[in-house]
Amino acid sequence: MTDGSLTTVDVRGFRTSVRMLGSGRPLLFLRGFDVGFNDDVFIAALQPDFKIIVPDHPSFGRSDLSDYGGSVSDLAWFYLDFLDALAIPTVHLLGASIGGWIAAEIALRTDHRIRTLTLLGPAGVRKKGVGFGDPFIKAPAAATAMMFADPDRALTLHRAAERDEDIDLHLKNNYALAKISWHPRFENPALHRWLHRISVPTHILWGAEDSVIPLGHSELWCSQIPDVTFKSVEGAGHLLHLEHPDLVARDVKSFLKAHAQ
Amino acid sequence: MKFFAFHLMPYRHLDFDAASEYTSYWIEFPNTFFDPELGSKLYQEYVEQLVYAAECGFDGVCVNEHHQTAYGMMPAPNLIASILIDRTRNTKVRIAILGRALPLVNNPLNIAEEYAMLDSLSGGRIIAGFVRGIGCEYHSTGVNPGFSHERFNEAHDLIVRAWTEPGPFTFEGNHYTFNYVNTWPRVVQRPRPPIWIPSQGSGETIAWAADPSRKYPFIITFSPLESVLRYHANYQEQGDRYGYEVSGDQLGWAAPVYVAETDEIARRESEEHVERLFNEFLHIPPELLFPPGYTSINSLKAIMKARSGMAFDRQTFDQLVEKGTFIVGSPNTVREKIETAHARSGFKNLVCMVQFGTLPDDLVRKNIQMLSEEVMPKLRPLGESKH
Repeated sequence: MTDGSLTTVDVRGFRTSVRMLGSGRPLLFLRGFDVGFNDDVFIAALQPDFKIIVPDHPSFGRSDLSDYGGSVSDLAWFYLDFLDALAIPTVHLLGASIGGWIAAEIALRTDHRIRTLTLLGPAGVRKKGVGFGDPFIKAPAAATAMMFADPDRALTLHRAAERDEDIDLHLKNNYALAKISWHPRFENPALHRWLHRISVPTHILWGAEDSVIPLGHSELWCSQIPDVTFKSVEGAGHLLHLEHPDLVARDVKSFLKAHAQ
Repeated sequence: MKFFAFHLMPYRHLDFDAASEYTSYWIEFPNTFFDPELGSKLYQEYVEQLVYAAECGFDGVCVNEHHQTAYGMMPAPNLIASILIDRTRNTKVRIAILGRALPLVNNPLNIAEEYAMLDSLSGGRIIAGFVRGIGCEYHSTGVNPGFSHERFNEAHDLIVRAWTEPGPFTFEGNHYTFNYVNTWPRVVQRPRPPIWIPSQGSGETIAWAADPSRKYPFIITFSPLESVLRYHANYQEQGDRYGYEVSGDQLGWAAPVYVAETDEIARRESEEHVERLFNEFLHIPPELLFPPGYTSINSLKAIMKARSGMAFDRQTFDQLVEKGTFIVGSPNTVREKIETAHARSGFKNLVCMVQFGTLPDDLVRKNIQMLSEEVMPKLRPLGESKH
């Protein structure tokens, strides 16, 4: 049992900050635009059957700055080292937003380490004509609001960065998010060609009102991944798991349970 | 003291009432505000103004690069530079491109080649400005601001080597790699054209420009006088740390300048137009001006704390004059302001923005004439005996 406090994992000499909660089967949760938001309710709702591992990606949060932070491809390889460092043989992968993109790229690089893949409004694939929203061009409050179907939810979930340390973390996260996703914007242009190689059971959830990575992109994921189930969540924006934590957690758990061995 | 006439070539015929619906005149500001016929005439007007400045005795004329904005109509400044080169044929007038935005291109060899062409065409009269482009342009071009510094440094190294080393050679970088660097034509100026760094004064840039291997003239742009002088002092301190004395030739000040018969006339003629420059054309919210990674986190925090820069708050004519951001007045007043500033830092390059905001053609030409006849002659000896 781990209590949710922060630990530092040494990954081939690289210090990675990790939050670990609960016990049970390992569930690696990779985040995107949800970094910096309070996700305690969602994480708690995923309990009690999993040991939930929530890392700060390289160059994010309290992890070291690194050249790994230059691309999603690098991050995907990095997480294979990360699993080795934690001596975790197999893992359930859960990724939200840009974290979903990272998770999909990990699943393409190895299948025997991954039990299941769950994606929440993943970036990474562009269906032409659908377009993306642009959080980077917006003022901070507007960028936060666009993450949710109900902008008032944003206010209750976003920790206002007031202390100097929090401002530093917020800026570090924003810099790191931009570095891996600014160009090509929110996609690996080749990724959609290889989604058919994702061999593990995959479940995709998407906010019906996602204005960052709109729902229309889900078509490409669902048509290419062989073993996939899909659900759109009404009244949810890009950060659907923060907007409707209980509903999303329940759905994720039911998928994971169906594929527990 | 050397005097340069600088132009942004703003789209001055903007419908400001209609435009006021938009937060800024950058990135998402619709190009339907641009009337192609008026724009075409503006290019002619502005080119003639710079040619006139060259005829009046300015040491150089300057163009610069901006993208997808009403602020400046020169996405490709070298095109204007080539016109100016031809129009100033058989003179010693410098043509300064301040500058090309290196990180915004995917093939910096194009910049090496174009600058080499301009140097060749002009018989060695160009000044090659290198900039990173402003934050908005990372939104407009899609180039990742997180790699802005790396791309700038790499492109700079590549271009300087392309000018100074015999080709062909191989260049291997993280962002740019070329098997064959072999630029034709070669630059006329030896070892290479002067490189100037226009900047808002970041510490990293000062340390880089002042490095003994570079000693690049550093031009502080459109800032309050005290900031300009502080950055000049920073550059000089950096020179001390490197163990050499910084020459006045390495320091420059770029500012809007307006001269008229009296202080009162100068105010009356320039007030509206300079306020348009700072409050409309230059009104840029921080998220557009500082996309993530464009500055270091520490620089960004310092900027946001100060919030005293050009781009956030409305500035009145009086504030712009009081801060010394705008050099304006009678010939005597303007001379005194420049002398006073010079006495404090010893800078020897004054880059005068002779047209600013909506300033119309007749006033621009009068400004150029009065500057060249009544201000420049007496100030030319500044810094020639010391510094």
